[in-house]
Amino acid sequence: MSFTRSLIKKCLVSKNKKYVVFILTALTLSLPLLSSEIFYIDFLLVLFMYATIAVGWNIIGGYTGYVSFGHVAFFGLGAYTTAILLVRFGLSPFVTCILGGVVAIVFALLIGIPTLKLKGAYFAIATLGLGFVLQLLFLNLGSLTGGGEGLSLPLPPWDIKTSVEIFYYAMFIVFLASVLTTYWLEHSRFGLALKCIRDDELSAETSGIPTAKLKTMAFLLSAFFPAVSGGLFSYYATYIDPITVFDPKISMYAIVFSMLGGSGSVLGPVIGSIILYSVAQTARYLITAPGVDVMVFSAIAVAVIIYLPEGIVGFLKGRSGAK
Amino acid sequence: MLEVKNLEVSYGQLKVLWGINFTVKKDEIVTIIGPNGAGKTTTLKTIIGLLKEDKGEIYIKGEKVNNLPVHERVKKKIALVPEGCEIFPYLTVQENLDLGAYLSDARKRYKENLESVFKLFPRLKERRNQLAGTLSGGERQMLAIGRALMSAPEIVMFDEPTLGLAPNLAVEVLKTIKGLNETGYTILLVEQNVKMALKISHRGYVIENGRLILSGEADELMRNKHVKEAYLGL
Repeated sequence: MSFTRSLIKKCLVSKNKKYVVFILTALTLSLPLLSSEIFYIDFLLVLFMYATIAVGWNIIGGYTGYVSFGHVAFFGLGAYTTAILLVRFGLSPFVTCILGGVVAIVFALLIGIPTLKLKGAYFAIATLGLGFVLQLLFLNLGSLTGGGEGLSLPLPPWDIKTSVEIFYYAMFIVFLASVLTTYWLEHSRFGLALKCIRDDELSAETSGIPTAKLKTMAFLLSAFFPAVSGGLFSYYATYIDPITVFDPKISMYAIVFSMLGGSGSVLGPVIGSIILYSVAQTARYLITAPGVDVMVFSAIAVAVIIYLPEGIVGFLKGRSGAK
Repeated sequence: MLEVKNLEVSYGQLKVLWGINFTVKKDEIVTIIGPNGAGKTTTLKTIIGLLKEDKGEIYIKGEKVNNLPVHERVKKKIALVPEGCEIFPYLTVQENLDLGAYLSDARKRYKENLESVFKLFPRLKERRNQLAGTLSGGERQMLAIGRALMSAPEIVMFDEPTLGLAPNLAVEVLKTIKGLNETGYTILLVEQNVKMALKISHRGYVIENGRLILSGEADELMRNKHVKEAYLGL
Protein backbone atom coordinates (compact mmCIF):
# COMPACT_ATOMS: atom_id res chain seq x y z
CA MET A 1 0.00 0.00 0.00
CA SER A 2 2.66 2.49 1.06
CA PHE A 3 4.76 1.42 -1.93
CA THR A 4 1.91 2.08 -4.35
CA ARG A 5 1.28 5.37 -2.65
CA SER A 6 4.87 6.49 -2.98
CA LEU A 7 4.97 5.27 -6.58
CA ILE A 8 1.85 7.19 -7.53
CA LYS A 9 3.18 10.12 -5.59
CA LYS A 10 6.37 10.04 -7.63
CA CYS A 11 4.36 10.04 -10.83
CA LEU A 12 1.97 12.80 -9.85
CA VAL A 13 3.52 15.18 -7.44
CA SER A 14 7.17 15.38 -8.35
CA LYS A 15 9.00 16.61 -11.40
CA ASN A 16 8.21 13.37 -13.23
CA LYS A 17 4.68 14.71 -13.65
CA LYS A 18 5.67 16.32 -16.95
CA TYR A 19 6.78 13.01 -18.46
CA VAL A 20 3.74 11.13 -17.22
CA VAL A 21 1.47 13.76 -18.71
CA PHE A 22 3.48 13.69 -21.94
CA ILE A 23 3.29 9.90 -22.27
CA LEU A 24 -0.43 9.86 -21.53
CA THR A 25 -1.02 12.58 -24.11
CA ALA A 26 0.96 10.69 -26.73
CA LEU A 27 -0.94 7.50 -25.95
CA THR A 28 -4.25 9.32 -26.18
CA LEU A 29 -3.36 10.88 -29.49
CA SER A 30 -2.30 7.60 -31.03
CA LEU A 31 -5.20 5.53 -29.72
CA PRO A 32 -7.30 5.77 -32.91
CA LEU A 33 -4.30 4.41 -34.81
CA LEU A 34 -3.77 1.55 -32.38
CA SER A 35 -7.31 0.37 -32.01
CA SER A 36 -9.88 -0.08 -34.72
CA GLU A 37 -12.65 -0.55 -32.18
CA ILE A 38 -14.99 2.43 -32.25
CA PHE A 39 -16.17 1.39 -28.78
CA TYR A 40 -12.93 2.40 -27.08
CA ILE A 41 -12.64 5.64 -28.95
CA ASP A 42 -16.22 6.54 -28.12
CA PHE A 43 -15.62 5.56 -24.51
CA LEU A 44 -12.67 7.93 -24.21
CA LEU A 45 -14.46 10.67 -26.10
CA VAL A 46 -17.32 10.70 -23.61
CA LEU A 47 -14.79 10.43 -20.80
CA PHE A 48 -13.05 13.55 -22.10
CA MET A 49 -16.39 15.30 -22.24
CA TYR A 50 -17.20 14.57 -18.60
CA ALA A 51 -13.64 15.36 -17.59
CA THR A 52 -13.91 18.75 -19.33
CA ILE A 53 -17.09 19.53 -17.42
CA ALA A 54 -15.43 18.43 -14.18
CA VAL A 55 -12.31 20.49 -14.88
CA GLY A 56 -14.51 23.50 -15.64
CA TRP A 57 -16.52 22.96 -12.48
CA ASN A 58 -13.31 22.68 -10.47
CA ILE A 59 -12.41 26.30 -11.24
CA ILE A 60 -15.37 27.67 -9.32
CA GLY A 61 -16.16 24.68 -7.07
CA GLY A 62 -12.64 23.53 -6.27
CA TYR A 63 -10.42 26.58 -6.48
CA THR A 64 -12.87 29.27 -5.43
CA GLY A 65 -14.90 27.14 -3.02
CA TYR A 66 -18.27 28.02 -4.53
CA VAL A 67 -19.94 24.66 -5.08
CA SER A 68 -22.14 24.90 -8.14
CA PHE A 69 -24.85 22.27 -8.58
CA GLY A 70 -25.95 23.64 -11.92
CA HIS A 71 -23.06 23.25 -14.32
CA VAL A 72 -25.20 21.19 -16.65
CA ALA A 73 -26.86 24.51 -17.54
CA PHE A 74 -23.71 25.62 -19.33
CA PHE A 75 -23.23 22.25 -21.00
CA GLY A 76 -26.81 22.33 -22.29
CA LEU A 77 -26.54 25.94 -23.41
CA GLY A 78 -23.44 25.09 -25.42
CA ALA A 79 -25.13 22.06 -26.94
CA TYR A 80 -28.20 24.03 -27.97
CA THR A 81 -26.24 27.01 -29.29
CA THR A 82 -24.31 24.90 -31.79
CA ALA A 83 -27.31 22.75 -32.62
CA ILE A 84 -29.54 25.73 -33.39
CA LEU A 85 -26.83 27.49 -35.38
CA LEU A 86 -26.27 24.33 -37.43
CA VAL A 87 -29.92 23.44 -38.03
CA ARG A 88 -31.17 26.96 -38.68
CA PHE A 89 -28.13 28.62 -40.23
CA GLY A 90 -25.91 25.76 -41.38
CA LEU A 91 -22.86 26.92 -39.40
CA SER A 92 -20.25 24.29 -38.56
CA PRO A 93 -20.26 23.22 -34.89
CA PHE A 94 -16.48 23.01 -34.89
CA VAL A 95 -16.52 26.79 -35.18
CA THR A 96 -19.68 27.57 -33.25
CA CYS A 97 -18.79 25.46 -30.21
CA ILE A 98 -16.59 28.41 -29.19
CA LEU A 99 -19.63 30.64 -29.67
CA GLY A 100 -21.55 28.30 -27.37
CA GLY A 101 -18.85 28.96 -24.79
CA VAL A 102 -19.37 32.69 -25.23
CA VAL A 103 -23.14 32.32 -24.77
CA ALA A 104 -22.47 30.38 -21.57
CA ILE A 105 -20.11 33.12 -20.38
CA VAL A 106 -22.75 35.79 -20.92
CA PHE A 107 -25.31 33.65 -19.13
CA ALA A 108 -22.86 32.97 -16.29
CA LEU A 109 -22.27 36.71 -15.94
CA LEU A 110 -25.99 37.39 -15.59
CA ILE A 111 -26.38 34.57 -13.08
CA GLY A 112 -23.06 35.05 -11.32
CA ILE A 113 -23.45 38.68 -10.32
CA PRO A 114 -26.43 38.04 -8.03
CA THR A 115 -25.73 34.43 -6.95
CA LEU A 116 -22.04 34.83 -6.09
CA LYS A 117 -23.12 37.14 -3.28
CA LEU A 118 -24.54 34.01 -1.64
CA LYS A 119 -22.37 31.72 0.43
CA GLY A 120 -22.15 27.98 1.02
CA ALA A 121 -25.38 26.04 0.74
CA TYR A 122 -27.30 29.07 -0.50
CA PHE A 123 -25.11 29.36 -3.58
CA ALA A 124 -25.45 25.61 -4.15
CA ILE A 125 -29.25 25.79 -4.00
CA ALA A 126 -29.41 28.84 -6.27
CA THR A 127 -27.30 27.10 -8.91
CA LEU A 128 -29.22 23.85 -8.51
CA GLY A 129 -32.20 25.65 -9.99
CA LEU A 130 -30.27 26.79 -13.06
CA GLY A 131 -30.34 23.50 -14.94
CA PHE A 132 -34.02 22.95 -14.21
CA VAL A 133 -35.02 26.42 -15.28
CA LEU A 134 -33.16 26.13 -18.58
CA GLN A 135 -34.57 22.66 -19.15
CA LEU A 136 -38.10 24.01 -18.78
CA LEU A 137 -37.31 27.00 -20.93
CA PHE A 138 -35.92 24.90 -23.76
CA LEU A 139 -38.82 22.46 -23.49
CA ASN A 140 -41.25 25.31 -24.04
CA LEU A 141 -39.47 27.44 -26.64
CA GLY A 142 -40.66 25.05 -29.33
CA SER A 143 -40.17 27.22 -32.39
CA LEU A 144 -36.51 27.80 -31.61
CA THR A 145 -35.47 24.64 -29.79
CA GLY A 146 -37.84 22.03 -31.10
CA GLY A 147 -39.32 21.70 -27.61
CA GLY A 148 -39.63 18.22 -26.15
CA GLU A 149 -39.12 16.62 -29.53
CA GLY A 150 -35.56 17.90 -29.48
CA LEU A 151 -33.40 18.78 -32.42
CA SER A 152 -32.05 16.38 -35.01
CA LEU A 153 -28.77 17.54 -36.45
CA PRO A 154 -27.58 16.62 -39.93
CA LEU A 155 -25.08 13.76 -39.97
CA PRO A 156 -21.43 14.73 -40.26
CA PRO A 157 -20.23 14.21 -43.83
CA TRP A 158 -17.79 11.39 -43.03
CA ASP A 159 -18.05 7.66 -42.54
CA ILE A 160 -18.63 6.58 -38.95
CA LYS A 161 -15.05 5.66 -38.10
CA THR A 162 -13.53 8.91 -39.43
CA SER A 163 -16.25 10.94 -37.81
CA VAL A 164 -15.72 9.37 -34.37
CA GLU A 165 -11.99 9.96 -34.72
CA ILE A 166 -12.46 13.61 -35.65
CA PHE A 167 -14.75 14.20 -32.68
CA TYR A 168 -12.34 12.30 -30.49
CA TYR A 169 -9.50 14.67 -31.35
CA ALA A 170 -11.72 17.74 -31.13
CA MET A 171 -12.96 16.73 -27.67
CA PHE A 172 -9.41 15.96 -26.62
CA ILE A 173 -8.29 19.44 -27.66
CA VAL A 174 -11.06 21.06 -25.62
CA PHE A 175 -10.20 18.83 -22.68
CA LEU A 176 -6.51 19.65 -22.98
CA ALA A 177 -7.29 23.37 -23.20
CA SER A 178 -9.33 23.17 -20.01
CA VAL A 179 -6.55 21.34 -18.17
CA LEU A 180 -3.90 23.78 -19.41
CA THR A 181 -6.09 26.66 -18.26
CA THR A 182 -6.29 25.14 -14.79
CA TYR A 183 -2.54 24.55 -14.86
CA TRP A 184 -2.05 28.23 -15.59
CA LEU A 185 -4.53 29.06 -12.84
CA GLU A 186 -2.64 26.94 -10.31
CA HIS A 187 0.51 28.95 -10.98
CA SER A 188 -0.94 32.42 -11.37
CA ARG A 189 -1.70 35.21 -8.95
CA PHE A 190 -5.31 34.97 -10.05
CA GLY A 191 -5.46 31.32 -8.95
CA LEU A 192 -3.77 32.09 -5.65
CA ALA A 193 -6.33 34.81 -5.00
CA LEU A 194 -9.15 32.35 -5.75
CA LYS A 195 -7.73 29.86 -3.24
CA CYS A 196 -7.73 32.65 -0.69
CA ILE A 197 -11.35 33.42 -1.35
CA ARG A 198 -12.05 29.72 -0.77
CA ASP A 199 -10.07 29.57 2.47
CA ASP A 200 -11.26 32.81 4.00
CA GLU A 201 -13.12 35.37 1.97
CA LEU A 202 -13.02 38.02 4.67
CA SER A 203 -9.26 37.87 5.02
CA ALA A 204 -8.91 37.81 1.25
CA GLU A 205 -10.85 41.03 1.09
CA THR A 206 -8.82 42.71 3.80
CA SER A 207 -5.66 41.71 1.90
CA GLY A 208 -6.88 43.94 -0.89
CA ILE A 209 -8.16 41.23 -3.23
CA PRO A 210 -11.16 42.44 -5.27
CA THR A 211 -13.14 39.32 -4.39
CA ALA A 212 -16.39 40.11 -6.21
CA LYS A 213 -14.60 40.66 -9.51
CA LEU A 214 -12.35 37.60 -9.25
CA LYS A 215 -15.18 35.28 -8.18
CA THR A 216 -17.20 36.34 -11.20
CA MET A 217 -14.23 35.85 -13.52
CA ALA A 218 -13.71 32.35 -12.13
CA PHE A 219 -17.39 31.57 -12.67
CA LEU A 220 -17.23 32.71 -16.29
CA LEU A 221 -14.12 30.66 -16.94
CA SER A 222 -15.69 27.60 -15.37
CA ALA A 223 -18.80 28.02 -17.55
CA PHE A 224 -16.84 28.22 -20.79
CA PHE A 225 -15.35 24.72 -21.08
CA PRO A 226 -18.47 22.68 -20.27
CA ALA A 227 -20.33 24.71 -22.91
CA VAL A 228 -17.72 24.07 -25.59
CA SER A 229 -17.75 20.35 -24.87
CA GLY A 230 -21.56 20.46 -25.01
CA GLY A 231 -21.35 22.05 -28.43
CA LEU A 232 -19.20 19.23 -29.74
CA PHE A 233 -21.40 16.65 -28.06
CA SER A 234 -24.57 17.83 -29.80
CA TYR A 235 -23.03 17.37 -33.25
CA TYR A 236 -21.50 14.06 -32.25
CA ALA A 237 -24.78 12.72 -30.88
CA THR A 238 -26.66 14.24 -33.88
CA TYR A 239 -29.73 14.52 -31.68
CA ILE A 240 -30.34 16.50 -28.51
CA ASP A 241 -33.35 17.21 -26.35
CA PRO A 242 -33.74 19.19 -23.11
CA ILE A 243 -34.08 16.03 -21.01
CA THR A 244 -30.64 14.67 -21.94
CA VAL A 245 -28.52 17.80 -22.23
CA PHE A 246 -29.94 19.43 -19.08
CA ASP A 247 -29.84 16.19 -17.08
CA PRO A 248 -28.97 17.14 -13.46
CA LYS A 249 -26.92 13.93 -13.34
CA ILE A 250 -24.28 15.73 -15.42
CA SER A 251 -23.84 18.39 -12.70
CA MET A 252 -23.50 15.63 -10.12
CA TYR A 253 -20.90 13.84 -12.24
CA ALA A 254 -18.82 17.01 -12.42
CA ILE A 255 -18.92 17.43 -8.64
CA VAL A 256 -18.28 13.83 -7.68
CA PHE A 257 -15.53 13.32 -10.29
CA SER A 258 -13.74 16.40 -8.98
CA MET A 259 -14.20 15.44 -5.35
CA LEU A 260 -12.90 11.92 -5.83
CA GLY A 261 -9.83 13.12 -7.69
CA GLY A 262 -9.33 16.07 -5.41
CA SER A 263 -11.00 19.39 -6.07
CA GLY A 264 -8.82 22.45 -6.14
CA SER A 265 -5.98 20.69 -7.95
CA VAL A 266 -5.07 20.53 -11.63
CA LEU A 267 -5.19 16.78 -12.08
CA GLY A 268 -7.82 15.94 -9.45
CA PRO A 269 -10.90 16.18 -11.69
CA VAL A 270 -9.07 14.34 -14.47
CA ILE A 271 -8.06 11.43 -12.25
CA GLY A 272 -11.51 11.35 -10.69
CA SER A 273 -13.19 11.26 -14.09
CA ILE A 274 -10.99 8.48 -15.39
CA ILE A 275 -11.54 6.27 -12.36
CA LEU A 276 -15.22 6.87 -11.72
CA TYR A 277 -16.37 6.94 -15.31
CA SER A 278 -14.50 3.72 -16.06
CA VAL A 279 -15.94 2.01 -12.99
CA ALA A 280 -19.47 3.17 -13.71
CA GLN A 281 -19.30 2.08 -17.37
CA THR A 282 -17.79 -1.29 -16.48
CA ALA A 283 -20.53 -1.86 -13.95
CA ARG A 284 -23.05 -0.97 -16.61
CA TYR A 285 -21.75 -3.58 -19.05
CA LEU A 286 -21.20 -6.31 -16.48
CA ILE A 287 -24.58 -5.99 -14.83
CA THR A 288 -27.23 -5.14 -17.35
CA ALA A 289 -29.96 -4.19 -14.90
CA PRO A 290 -30.83 -0.51 -15.38
CA GLY A 291 -29.45 2.05 -12.96
CA VAL A 292 -26.58 -0.11 -11.73
CA ASP A 293 -23.97 2.40 -12.86
CA VAL A 294 -25.68 5.11 -10.84
CA MET A 295 -25.78 2.89 -7.76
CA VAL A 296 -22.10 1.97 -8.00
CA PHE A 297 -21.33 5.58 -8.65
CA SER A 298 -23.28 6.79 -5.62
CA ALA A 299 -21.71 4.19 -3.35
CA ILE A 300 -18.26 5.38 -4.40
CA ALA A 301 -19.31 8.99 -3.85
CA VAL A 302 -20.38 8.22 -0.28
CA ALA A 303 -17.17 6.32 0.41
CA VAL A 304 -15.11 9.22 -0.92
CA ILE A 305 -16.84 11.73 1.31
CA ILE A 306 -16.21 9.56 4.36
CA TYR A 307 -12.70 8.25 3.73
CA LEU A 308 -11.08 10.65 1.28
CA PRO A 309 -12.58 14.09 1.92
CA GLU A 310 -9.59 15.73 0.25
CA GLY A 311 -9.74 13.46 -2.78
CA ILE A 312 -6.97 11.32 -4.23
CA VAL A 313 -4.61 14.19 -5.00
CA GLY A 314 -5.19 15.73 -1.57
CA PHE A 315 -4.53 12.34 0.03
CA LEU A 316 -1.28 11.91 -1.88
CA LYS A 317 -0.13 15.38 -0.99
CA GLY A 318 -1.09 14.67 2.63
CA ARG A 319 -3.26 17.73 2.82
CA SER A 320 -5.86 16.32 5.17
CA GLY A 321 -3.83 17.32 8.25
CA ALA A 322 -4.11 21.11 7.96
CA LYS A 323 -6.57 23.44 9.66
CA MET B 1 -3.94 59.77 9.27
CA LEU B 2 -7.28 58.26 10.18
CA GLU B 3 -10.38 60.11 11.19
CA VAL B 4 -13.83 58.80 12.00
CA LYS B 5 -16.71 61.22 12.38
CA ASN B 6 -20.09 60.43 13.84
CA LEU B 7 -19.99 56.81 12.77
CA GLU B 8 -23.25 54.89 13.10
CA VAL B 9 -23.46 51.23 12.13
CA SER B 10 -26.13 48.59 12.55
CA TYR B 11 -26.58 44.90 11.88
CA GLY B 12 -30.04 44.78 10.33
CA GLN B 13 -32.36 46.37 12.88
CA LEU B 14 -29.84 46.35 15.67
CA LYS B 15 -27.84 49.51 16.07
CA VAL B 16 -24.31 48.79 17.26
CA LEU B 17 -22.47 52.08 16.97
CA TRP B 18 -24.25 55.26 17.95
CA GLY B 19 -22.06 58.01 16.61
CA ILE B 20 -18.37 57.40 17.26
CA ASN B 21 -15.70 60.07 16.77
CA PHE B 22 -11.99 59.54 16.95
CA THR B 23 -8.73 60.29 15.23
CA VAL B 24 -5.41 58.54 14.88
CA LYS B 25 -2.48 60.82 14.13
CA LYS B 26 0.67 59.91 12.27
CA ASP B 27 3.12 57.73 14.23
CA GLU B 28 0.69 57.14 17.08
CA ILE B 29 -0.51 53.98 18.75
CA VAL B 30 -4.14 54.44 19.67
CA THR B 31 -6.04 51.80 21.61
CA ILE B 32 -9.76 51.29 21.68
CA ILE B 33 -10.89 49.45 24.76
CA GLY B 34 -14.29 48.31 25.86
CA PRO B 35 -16.22 45.23 26.98
CA ASN B 36 -17.47 42.47 24.69
CA GLY B 37 -20.16 43.65 22.33
CA ALA B 38 -19.24 47.31 22.68
CA GLY B 39 -18.62 47.66 18.95
CA LYS B 40 -14.83 47.62 18.75
CA THR B 41 -14.56 45.02 16.00
CA THR B 42 -17.48 46.63 14.21
CA THR B 43 -15.58 49.91 14.16
CA LEU B 44 -12.53 48.32 12.55
CA LYS B 45 -14.61 46.38 10.03
CA THR B 46 -16.42 49.53 9.02
CA ILE B 47 -13.19 51.45 8.59
CA ILE B 48 -11.76 48.82 6.24
CA GLY B 49 -15.09 48.58 4.41
CA LEU B 50 -16.37 45.12 5.34
CA LEU B 51 -19.42 46.72 6.87
CA LYS B 52 -21.40 49.63 5.51
CA GLU B 53 -22.10 52.51 7.85
CA ASP B 54 -25.56 54.08 8.22
CA LYS B 55 -24.16 57.51 8.84
CA GLY B 56 -20.88 59.25 9.43
CA GLU B 57 -17.64 59.77 7.60
CA ILE B 58 -14.35 57.93 7.42
CA TYR B 59 -11.20 59.73 6.29
CA ILE B 60 -7.96 57.97 5.50
CA LYS B 61 -5.09 60.41 5.09
CA GLY B 62 -7.58 63.22 4.71
CA GLU B 63 -9.49 61.47 1.95
CA LYS B 64 -13.08 60.43 2.39
CA VAL B 65 -13.38 56.69 1.71
CA ASN B 66 -17.02 55.99 2.56
CA ASN B 67 -17.95 54.83 -0.92
CA LEU B 68 -14.85 52.81 -1.71
CA PRO B 69 -14.84 48.99 -1.70
CA VAL B 70 -12.38 47.18 0.56
CA HIS B 71 -9.60 46.69 -1.96
CA GLU B 72 -9.65 50.37 -2.89
CA ARG B 73 -9.29 51.30 0.78
CA VAL B 74 -6.35 48.92 1.14
CA LYS B 75 -4.72 50.85 -1.69
CA LYS B 76 -4.83 53.91 0.59
CA LYS B 77 -2.26 52.06 2.72
CA ILE B 78 -4.42 50.81 5.53
CA ALA B 79 -4.34 47.21 6.68
CA LEU B 80 -6.36 45.12 9.11
CA VAL B 81 -5.04 42.18 11.08
CA PRO B 82 -8.34 40.41 11.73
CA GLU B 83 -9.45 38.84 14.98
CA GLY B 84 -8.54 35.23 15.73
CA CYS B 85 -5.56 35.07 13.37
CA GLU B 86 -7.51 34.47 10.21
CA ILE B 87 -4.93 33.05 7.86
CA PHE B 88 -5.34 30.81 4.84
CA PRO B 89 -4.81 27.34 6.34
CA TYR B 90 -4.43 25.43 3.06
CA LEU B 91 -1.84 27.75 1.60
CA THR B 92 1.81 27.75 2.57
CA VAL B 93 3.28 30.45 4.76
CA GLN B 94 4.99 31.90 1.71
CA GLU B 95 1.75 31.96 -0.30
CA ASN B 96 -0.02 33.67 2.57
CA LEU B 97 2.62 36.39 2.55
CA ASP B 98 2.53 36.68 -1.25
CA LEU B 99 -1.15 37.36 -1.03
CA GLY B 100 -0.62 40.22 1.34
CA ALA B 101 1.27 41.85 -1.52
CA TYR B 102 -1.56 41.36 -3.97
CA LEU B 103 -1.96 44.98 -4.97
CA SER B 104 0.44 46.46 -7.49
CA ASP B 105 1.89 49.10 -5.17
CA ALA B 106 2.79 46.44 -2.66
CA ARG B 107 4.25 44.16 -5.31
CA LYS B 108 6.75 46.79 -6.31
CA ARG B 109 8.24 46.62 -2.83
CA TYR B 110 7.73 42.88 -2.48
CA LYS B 111 11.35 41.89 -1.90
CA GLU B 112 12.19 44.41 0.78
CA ASN B 113 8.87 43.89 2.53
CA LEU B 114 9.36 40.14 2.57
CA GLU B 115 12.83 40.59 3.95
CA SER B 116 11.66 42.87 6.72
CA VAL B 117 8.83 40.49 7.64
CA PHE B 118 11.30 37.60 7.85
CA LYS B 119 13.60 39.76 9.90
CA LEU B 120 10.76 40.58 12.25
CA PHE B 121 9.59 36.95 12.44
CA PRO B 122 12.49 34.61 11.66
CA ARG B 123 10.17 31.73 12.57
CA LEU B 124 8.11 32.40 9.46
CA LYS B 125 11.18 32.10 7.29
CA GLU B 126 11.95 28.70 8.77
CA ARG B 127 8.43 27.55 8.02
CA ARG B 128 7.86 29.30 4.72
CA ASN B 129 7.02 26.10 2.81
CA GLN B 130 4.75 24.68 5.47
CA LEU B 131 0.96 24.84 5.25
CA ALA B 132 -0.22 27.75 7.36
CA GLY B 133 -2.82 25.50 9.00
CA THR B 134 -0.04 23.57 10.72
CA LEU B 135 1.32 26.61 12.57
CA SER B 136 0.83 27.19 16.27
CA GLY B 137 -1.39 29.97 17.56
CA GLY B 138 1.48 32.39 18.13
CA GLU B 139 2.96 31.66 14.73
CA ARG B 140 -0.39 32.21 13.09
CA GLN B 141 -0.60 35.62 14.67
CA MET B 142 2.90 36.37 13.36
CA LEU B 143 1.76 35.29 9.93
CA ALA B 144 -1.39 37.40 10.09
CA ILE B 145 0.70 40.42 11.04
CA GLY B 146 3.30 39.59 8.40
CA ARG B 147 0.62 39.32 5.75
CA ALA B 148 -0.77 42.70 6.67
CA LEU B 149 2.72 44.23 6.52
CA MET B 150 3.25 42.79 3.03
CA SER B 151 0.65 45.20 1.71
CA ALA B 152 3.07 48.02 2.60
CA PRO B 153 0.61 49.85 4.83
CA GLU B 154 1.09 53.08 6.71
CA ILE B 155 -1.76 52.47 9.11
CA VAL B 156 -2.19 49.00 10.64
CA MET B 157 -5.29 48.08 12.59
CA PHE B 158 -5.11 45.15 15.00
CA ASP B 159 -8.24 43.41 16.19
CA GLU B 160 -7.47 41.74 19.51
CA PRO B 161 -4.06 40.43 18.49
CA THR B 162 -3.48 38.72 21.84
CA LEU B 163 -6.76 36.79 21.85
CA GLY B 164 -6.20 33.16 22.76
CA LEU B 165 -2.45 33.50 23.18
CA ALA B 166 -0.44 32.43 26.21
CA PRO B 167 0.42 35.43 28.46
CA ASN B 168 4.10 35.48 27.52
CA LEU B 169 3.21 35.32 23.81
CA ALA B 170 0.68 38.11 24.28
CA VAL B 171 3.44 40.29 25.70
CA GLU B 172 5.62 39.38 22.73
CA VAL B 173 2.91 40.37 20.25
CA LEU B 174 2.31 43.72 21.93
CA LYS B 175 6.06 44.35 22.03
CA THR B 176 6.18 43.64 18.32
CA ILE B 177 3.40 46.14 17.74
CA LYS B 178 5.27 48.72 19.75
CA GLY B 179 8.35 47.96 17.66
CA LEU B 180 6.38 48.40 14.45
CA ASN B 181 5.21 51.77 15.64
CA GLU B 182 8.80 52.81 16.33
CA THR B 183 9.78 51.90 12.79
CA GLY B 184 7.16 54.21 11.39
CA TYR B 185 3.78 52.48 11.30
CA THR B 186 0.72 54.22 12.66
CA ILE B 187 -1.33 51.83 14.72
CA LEU B 188 -4.93 51.45 15.79
CA LEU B 189 -5.26 48.70 18.34
CA VAL B 190 -8.36 47.03 19.72
CA GLU B 191 -7.67 45.10 22.89
CA GLN B 192 -9.30 43.50 25.88
CA ASN B 193 -5.96 43.22 27.54
CA VAL B 194 -6.37 46.77 28.75
CA LYS B 195 -3.37 47.20 31.01
CA MET B 196 -0.83 45.90 28.52
CA ALA B 197 -2.42 47.75 25.62
CA LEU B 198 -2.47 51.10 27.40
CA LYS B 199 1.13 50.62 28.42
CA ILE B 200 2.34 50.64 24.82
CA SER B 201 -0.15 53.24 23.55
CA HIS B 202 -0.01 56.97 23.26
CA ARG B 203 -3.73 57.57 23.51
CA GLY B 204 -6.85 55.57 24.09
CA TYR B 205 -10.61 55.59 23.66
CA VAL B 206 -13.17 53.71 25.70
CA ILE B 207 -16.29 52.46 23.95
CA GLU B 208 -19.28 51.11 25.85
CA ASN B 209 -22.58 50.10 24.29
CA GLY B 210 -21.63 51.65 20.98
CA ARG B 211 -20.85 55.05 22.44
CA LEU B 212 -17.56 56.73 23.13
CA ILE B 213 -17.47 57.43 26.85
CA LEU B 214 -13.87 58.35 27.54
CA SER B 215 -10.78 59.42 25.70
CA GLY B 216 -7.35 60.70 26.59
CA GLU B 217 -3.66 60.05 26.96
CA ALA B 218 -2.89 56.46 27.83
CA ASP B 219 -1.43 57.10 31.26
CA GLU B 220 -4.28 59.45 32.02
CA LEU B 221 -6.74 56.66 31.20
CA MET B 222 -4.80 54.24 33.36
CA ARG B 223 -5.39 56.54 36.32
CA ASN B 224 -9.05 57.13 35.49
CA LYS B 225 -11.38 55.85 38.16
CA HIS B 226 -13.87 54.24 35.77
CA VAL B 227 -11.18 52.48 33.76
CA LYS B 228 -9.53 51.27 36.92
CA GLU B 229 -12.75 49.81 38.28
CA ALA B 230 -14.17 48.37 35.11
CA TYR B 231 -11.09 47.15 33.23
CA LEU B 232 -8.11 46.95 35.48
CA GLY B 233 -9.88 45.40 38.43
CA LEU B 234 -8.27 47.76 40.89
